[in-house]
Amino acid sequence: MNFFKSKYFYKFSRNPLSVVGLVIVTTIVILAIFAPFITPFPEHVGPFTDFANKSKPPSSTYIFGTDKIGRDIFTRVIFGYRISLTLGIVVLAIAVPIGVTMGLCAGYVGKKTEMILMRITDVFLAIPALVLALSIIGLLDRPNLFYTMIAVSMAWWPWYTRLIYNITRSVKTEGYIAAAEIMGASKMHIMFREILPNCLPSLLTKITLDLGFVILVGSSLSFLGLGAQPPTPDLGTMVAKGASVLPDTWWFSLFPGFAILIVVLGFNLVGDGLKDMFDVDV
Amino acid sequence: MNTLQYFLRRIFVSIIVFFGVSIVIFCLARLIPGDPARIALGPFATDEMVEQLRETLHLNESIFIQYGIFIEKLFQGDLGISTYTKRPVLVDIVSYFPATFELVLMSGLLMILIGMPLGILSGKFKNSIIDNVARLISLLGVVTPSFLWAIILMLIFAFWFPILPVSERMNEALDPPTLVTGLLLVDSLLEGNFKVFGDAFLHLILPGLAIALPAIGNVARLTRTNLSDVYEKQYIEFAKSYSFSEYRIATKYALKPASIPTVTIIGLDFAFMLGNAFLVETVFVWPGMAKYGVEVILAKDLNGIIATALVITTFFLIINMIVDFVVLLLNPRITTKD
Repeated sequence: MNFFKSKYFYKFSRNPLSVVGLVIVTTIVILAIFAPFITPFPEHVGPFTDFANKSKPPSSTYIFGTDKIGRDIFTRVIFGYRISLTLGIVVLAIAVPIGVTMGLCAGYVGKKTEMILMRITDVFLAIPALVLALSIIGLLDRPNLFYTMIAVSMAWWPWYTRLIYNITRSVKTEGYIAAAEIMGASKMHIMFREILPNCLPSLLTKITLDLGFVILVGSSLSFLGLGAQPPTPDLGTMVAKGASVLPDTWWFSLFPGFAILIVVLGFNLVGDGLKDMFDVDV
Repeated sequence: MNTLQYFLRRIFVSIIVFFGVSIVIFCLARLIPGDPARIALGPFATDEMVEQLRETLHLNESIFIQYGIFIEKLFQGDLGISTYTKRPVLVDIVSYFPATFELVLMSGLLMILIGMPLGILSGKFKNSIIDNVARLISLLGVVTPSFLWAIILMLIFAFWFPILPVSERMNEALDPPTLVTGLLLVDSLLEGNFKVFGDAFLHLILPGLAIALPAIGNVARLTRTNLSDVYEKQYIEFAKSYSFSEYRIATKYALKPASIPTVTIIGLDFAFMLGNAFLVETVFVWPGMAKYGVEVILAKDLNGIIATALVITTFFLIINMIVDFVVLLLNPRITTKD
């Protein structure tokens, strides 16, 4: 069956914005993967200097201009996407399994398990996400990309517990769950084989939306100097470096800033499209 | 369950959550690799000095006793000495917190005053030009990092059209009002000093807006959806059949139920805005808690970090309680649930 002719794609593409989002996301992912072959100056990623061309405004050679040691900002933005996307994927790869397992256990097992797990979740939800991530990075020794990933994951899992918990609670009274219980299916089987598939549409939608928001939070941390360290081309770090020299060399920070905006926008639009497609609320 | 019981229960839950948060933050600070005493003293301290500090900080006791001591001191208002500012952390908080408090309240106000009307216009004139523009604004609000808003606002209103101030809380040339609450707007009004009041207000606009814009998008989006849902309800049809005026239907029958989910989400938006304050205060050189927080984090000041996290979380818990009470006023039925 051709997906592009299916009713799902019809529902998804009914809103042209979702398709725009899909195009944005696909383009960025392709650019990021093939960055070394596509970008005009791949050697500008590391500690490269070219003082003859420093602080050049946007031109046909350097479409986003160059930074104060002569590196092409466009090249660095594309490589920055590699870091951002990796961050998004790793954070969710840690946070989603933890959140989903906790949510399933709390929702299905109930009683004391539910009480304990949900109270723990509430406590983590009570600390604003960025503040929690910041404190964790502050307590770890030296900021780097790996710690950023850990810190953001720690702040992110409770949302998945909440989501899966709510779905599990509404699904567990269904007849087929009772049937599986009577057949003697194990708790594991019921949670992961009977209940989890019901959560997939919401889960997929939330993951897509969150990819954008995790990138946003990650770039916020590196904006504060608590993420990937120079000379790694990180979008948030680039914005922060440029912010101190406003307004003369505005291209230092505006282009990386807009690069963050575009990728978050892309994932957000696709996420909204998925919401309509699956008809879920996350 | 009556209203009073609901209030008490809500306060009780908040206290429990507060203790949970204190446990989490305390555990994070103690279980993370690295000796806090060594970190506080730096790499050049002798082993004896470190051992002495371990003794004074009770680091050789078991973690449960340490937590007990931590809580006991917390309630005596003793949060330890900041290794970054060399002052008691409580003194730092008292001097920095009001600035953040004022800023975030301003953002909250902007969020409601801009977000709600934007959502209402959008929901009322669905699929018109107003709707599309409002939706575009809300979408951009949500997806733009607030530090980028800060930079854009700064470029536009401070450099290209220099009409608004962009750093600190007030003009240095003016005399600050006597310290009463620490909130410049309140203190200057108490003195009747309108010059300072106006100046402080102008200083609040840009950072307040930069913090609020992402939340404005959220509020507008939600209000739009809820309002159009309510307009499809039968009682609206009924009111229309009585030929009540549009205005009366909107204000009396539609807005109240439509605002409940928005008000509920405002609590979460505050969490979001408190996080954003960390980014925006840095850009606008705002002498607040969040800027202090970033500084202590960069300086590895353990007591400062713990205190910042606790204060911000407590502030958030209190706002959440207030939000819940407002929701209760809008929708008294919730006391009968669960």
